[in-house]
Amino acid sequence: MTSQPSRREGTRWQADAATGKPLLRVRGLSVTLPTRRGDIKAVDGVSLDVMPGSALGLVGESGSGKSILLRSILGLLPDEAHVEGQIYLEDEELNALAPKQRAMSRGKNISVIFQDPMTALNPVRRIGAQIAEGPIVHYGLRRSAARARAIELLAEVGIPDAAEVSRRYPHELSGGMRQRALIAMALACDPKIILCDEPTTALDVTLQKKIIDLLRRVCLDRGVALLFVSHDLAVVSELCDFVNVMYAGRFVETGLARQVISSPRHVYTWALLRSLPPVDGPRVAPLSIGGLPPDRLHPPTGCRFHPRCPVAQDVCVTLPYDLKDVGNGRRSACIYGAAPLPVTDEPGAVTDEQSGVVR
Amino acid sequence: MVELDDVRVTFPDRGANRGVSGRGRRGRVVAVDGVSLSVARGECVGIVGESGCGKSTLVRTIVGLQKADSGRVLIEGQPLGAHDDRARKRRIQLVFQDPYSALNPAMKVGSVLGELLAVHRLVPRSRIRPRCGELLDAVGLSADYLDAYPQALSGGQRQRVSIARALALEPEILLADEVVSALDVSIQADILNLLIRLRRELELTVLFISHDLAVVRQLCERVLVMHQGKVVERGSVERVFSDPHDAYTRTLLASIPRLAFAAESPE
Repeated sequence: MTSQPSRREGTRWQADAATGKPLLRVRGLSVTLPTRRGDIKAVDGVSLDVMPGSALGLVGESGSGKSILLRSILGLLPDEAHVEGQIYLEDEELNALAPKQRAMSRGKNISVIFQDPMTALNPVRRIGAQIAEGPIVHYGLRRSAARARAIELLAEVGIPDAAEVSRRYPHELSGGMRQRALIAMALACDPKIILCDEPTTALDVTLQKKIIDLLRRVCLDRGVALLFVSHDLAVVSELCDFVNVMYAGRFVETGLARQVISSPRHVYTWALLRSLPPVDGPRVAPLSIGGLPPDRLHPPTGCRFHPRCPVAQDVCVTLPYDLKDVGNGRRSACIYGAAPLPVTDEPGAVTDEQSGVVR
Repeated sequence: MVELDDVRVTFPDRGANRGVSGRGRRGRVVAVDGVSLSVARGECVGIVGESGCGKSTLVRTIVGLQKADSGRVLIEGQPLGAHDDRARKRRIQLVFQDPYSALNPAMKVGSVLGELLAVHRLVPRSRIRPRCGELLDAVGLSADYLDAYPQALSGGQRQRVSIARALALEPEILLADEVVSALDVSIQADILNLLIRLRRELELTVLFISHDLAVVRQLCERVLVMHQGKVVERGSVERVFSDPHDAYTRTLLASIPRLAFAAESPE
């Protein structure tokens, strides 16, 4: 069955891109986390821009550093984490703010939707009161006005009988309803950008679809930008204008989502795409990437994907990390980035024309 | 091999909608509503449906962790005895969804596996440790992991240990309840390929429960679609994908995230 769900109409960002002022700018961000076995560089010198009203997807496997990156933008890292680099929201440097000022920015200009709606909600407070808290703190709304706003927001995110639901406790809501309530909470202070950390991973596919459609609608209606972290390129492709593929703390490929997905320019992106179970077409076994994600204490030299790469060359072992421009606003850190990858979609097959290597 | 005949399971309704009509007689929630199913030896059958459709209750009923209100569950033509019949009970094994809570955090991997082998007296005491190594090898982990605690393992590695634990009892039937849902897509592919291989090598009968039809399609020949406790559609995976009869099946199929731009010509 071929469905054509209403994709995000990725046009509005282009108007803003022409005037060229990113909403969120991250420059040379590194996050080091001390562990008992040594320091781990969870995020290793990444830079990104999010345009107003656009959606950027951050894709990578567990441990790639994508959640740490998201938390460092929010300023919610553990105390022992060491952060270098700059994070700007419009003209304000977020990581230069005093903790109190930063807390006041959080929730108002930047809000967040976490993966697990049960642990993100306070179990002993009513839903409506939790949503009303932001407007009371940030805008000084009176309690009655904030409660009324909470009910409006619950209705906006598609909860029937919002007034009644606002008086319930989180445990009285289903998983999908809780996630909707979290979205309402994230919208409560009219943020400019919402950061999402795998908001649909804990949901089943039917709910996931509904939540993604909802996120797309509210963000387009309100012109809110999204930074969407996920391990699933398919989900990102349904929601995001742009995608940054992350591997072992670094971006390995960035660009327009449609282009990255239809013609990846990094072997890792290609491998991620192949690991998705195909929905249409012939039934084939999914191709696993093989190997293990790198040891973050002792990352491989050169291209960090080389130990798992089917078409790695000798040069990949020593190659300095460099996210090169490969045209059309796309960037790739792969030696094959400038040309089509020497790999095919055949299960287990790798073409030999460029690499001379057949697996 | 596994036969279900009109199985019905209800729970007392303690939820917010208590007393709402249409939720079963005398305020009981009907979790599984008259499900019949027959699985032949060596077959792999998928059960799909959204959260709350009753698929996990059905699994619990099959392994005897949940009593059915009515209907019969037969394993190889006999009901799963309530008696202390270990040899029969170990023929059917379960792998759970959440690899983080399924393993005892205080037990090393070797003890998790070794305990089972000892309790069921499957191998002589001296053979326990080598056998544990073989089991890990079967699921693609090195024997070095015998001395690891679960917290040192990734989600995919834990799920491999969970599968090894199920295989330790040499089952004929494996029930996999959302075993890849908590994993990254790249790791999902690894675990699916592992299940495909094990099924072939060990001639396992597999019941694979998932909310994701795309995953079921990789592994199973036949699929049952459950909705609100009832089976709304059943058939071969190819047929259900190419020609779904039920409206709910179509919703499920339309919900699978697809690569939105994969079909477009590059740039």
